[in-house]
Amino acid sequence: MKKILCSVFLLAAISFAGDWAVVTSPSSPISSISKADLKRVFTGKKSDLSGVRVVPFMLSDANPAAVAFLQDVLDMSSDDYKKFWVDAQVRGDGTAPSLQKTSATAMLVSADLPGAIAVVDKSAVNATVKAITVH
Amino acid sequence: MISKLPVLLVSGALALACAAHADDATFKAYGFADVELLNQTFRTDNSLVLAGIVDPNTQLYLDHLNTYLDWKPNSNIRVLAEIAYNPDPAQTFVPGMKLHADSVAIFNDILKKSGSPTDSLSRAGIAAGTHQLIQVINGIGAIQQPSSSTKDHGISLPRVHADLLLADEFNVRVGKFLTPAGIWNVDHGSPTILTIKQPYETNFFQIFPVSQTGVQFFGHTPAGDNDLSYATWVTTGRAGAGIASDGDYAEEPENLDDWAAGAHLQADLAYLDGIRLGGTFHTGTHREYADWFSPAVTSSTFTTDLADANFSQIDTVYNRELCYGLDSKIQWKGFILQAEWNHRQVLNLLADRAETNFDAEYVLLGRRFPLGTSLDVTPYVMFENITWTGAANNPYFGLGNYPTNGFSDYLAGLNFGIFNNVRVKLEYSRQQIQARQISSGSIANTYTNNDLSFNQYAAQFSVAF
Repeated sequence: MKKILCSVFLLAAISFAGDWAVVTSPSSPISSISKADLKRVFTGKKSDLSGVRVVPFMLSDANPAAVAFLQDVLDMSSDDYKKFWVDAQVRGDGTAPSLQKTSATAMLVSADLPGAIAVVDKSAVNATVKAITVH
Repeated sequence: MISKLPVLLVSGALALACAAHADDATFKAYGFADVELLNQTFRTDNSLVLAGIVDPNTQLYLDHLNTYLDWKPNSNIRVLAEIAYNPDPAQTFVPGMKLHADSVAIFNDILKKSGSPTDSLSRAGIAAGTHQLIQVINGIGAIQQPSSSTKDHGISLPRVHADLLLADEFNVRVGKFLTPAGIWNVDHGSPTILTIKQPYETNFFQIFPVSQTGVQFFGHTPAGDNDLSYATWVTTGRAGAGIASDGDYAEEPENLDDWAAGAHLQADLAYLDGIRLGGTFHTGTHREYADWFSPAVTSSTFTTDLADANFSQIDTVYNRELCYGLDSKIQWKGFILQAEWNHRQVLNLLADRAETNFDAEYVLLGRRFPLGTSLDVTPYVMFENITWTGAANNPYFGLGNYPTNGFSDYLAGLNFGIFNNVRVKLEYSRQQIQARQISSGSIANTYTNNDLSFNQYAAQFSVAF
């Protein structure tokens, strides 16, 4: 019985380890975003949302939520994503979103910036930011 | 000397930038560098070898060190400057021949050996050896290069521009920018491109100008899962760039009697792993003139008093060009298939709009294989073909005496990716110049394609930083 319970807890932990959320400032007019637009934002192809200039923040790939986000939304690995931005920079298309080491710092910089769109660990989301619905 | 026009344009944009508040200002510096090991095989009796113009020994040199300064004083303004060290813009002086580190030295060296550019050009009419053609092309290259007095020893600004970021659909760029024509002209950095050698049509035979100074409007919009984008520009054109070089290399000030306009449209389709289709159009004028004066003759010799002299300007070059091209890139399951077709028509306005036409196309095929964590390899092959007609109609290009109507390049290689910012490439290429046999006259020859071909082996280490 103990083994079964342990396995269930372990599976639950694994399933939540990579859950991501996208947050912004509570004062931001952005409340929802499509997956396609989210992909555009994090590949530098979209900078306007709900009349606001967006400023994306990405989590460091040491965080499982970042890896899951890249896979789910951009269909890329962390290396692919870095390579994508190396190419984009050489072309002059812009620079990669600012990288935040932890969800806490990502939420800290997003809290007062209405255009912020930050990828964070879902379990870390708190009341200082507003979660954006991804559809 | 740095051109005043891009500086003025960028200054204007910066003034606007200062007017806005800097709520999220960022400044980043990044770039890329590469080192190349090169070996070329020429016949020992090749005239270039005999003249000491090419070095048949294996060479190792720094090819690029490009640094980008990227400043966003606020979310509506971006200023980007790309500073290139030793970037000799064409990078390849003749098909297959690399320049040494200091191209000025090469330029002077060629002139010293050839006597003068004109003398070098006149050799076009002398069919002295089976490889004379290559020497002729070299002569043209020497003529088109900026003079050593205006060339600034390996520092250039491929682009310096300010962007007014107004909306995704509409933005304004002012300054000097890379012409957003096709794929390769913008994908110019070694970490980004698969091959070591760029297609000749994007450097040596620039169908579209590599960079221009002026104003560009650009933007993009989603269409379902697809993206549509555009860029359109009004500029001073390709300046003095001829067929074999970038005349704006020295950032020389240009008069506004040259103009150009163009546009690029692009669709990024969400099929397979991405399909890109694009088309480009560009037109403009190019004018050069010489100043003459006619001093009054007071006796059997010219007077030294210029007060009575008549000064006049006479056009030496005046042409209009129409360039258009199509580009495509398909990615699917690790495969990449990329192709561009470009055409340039040049009308000689000093000779009843006599035409010179250039056609160029390349096809590149590669397949990426992951070899492990942060390691991959992409074998690739590329074929490029460039042909021209009516070369004699525009003497400015100096192609009329070539015993050829074009050349082809066959290329194969391996591109290793290490982590995400280091590339190691190994490449073999064979240039085959399409001989134009002439049965009589001063350039009579019996060249075959094989007579004029030569091989190149190269290895490159590049890093993005």
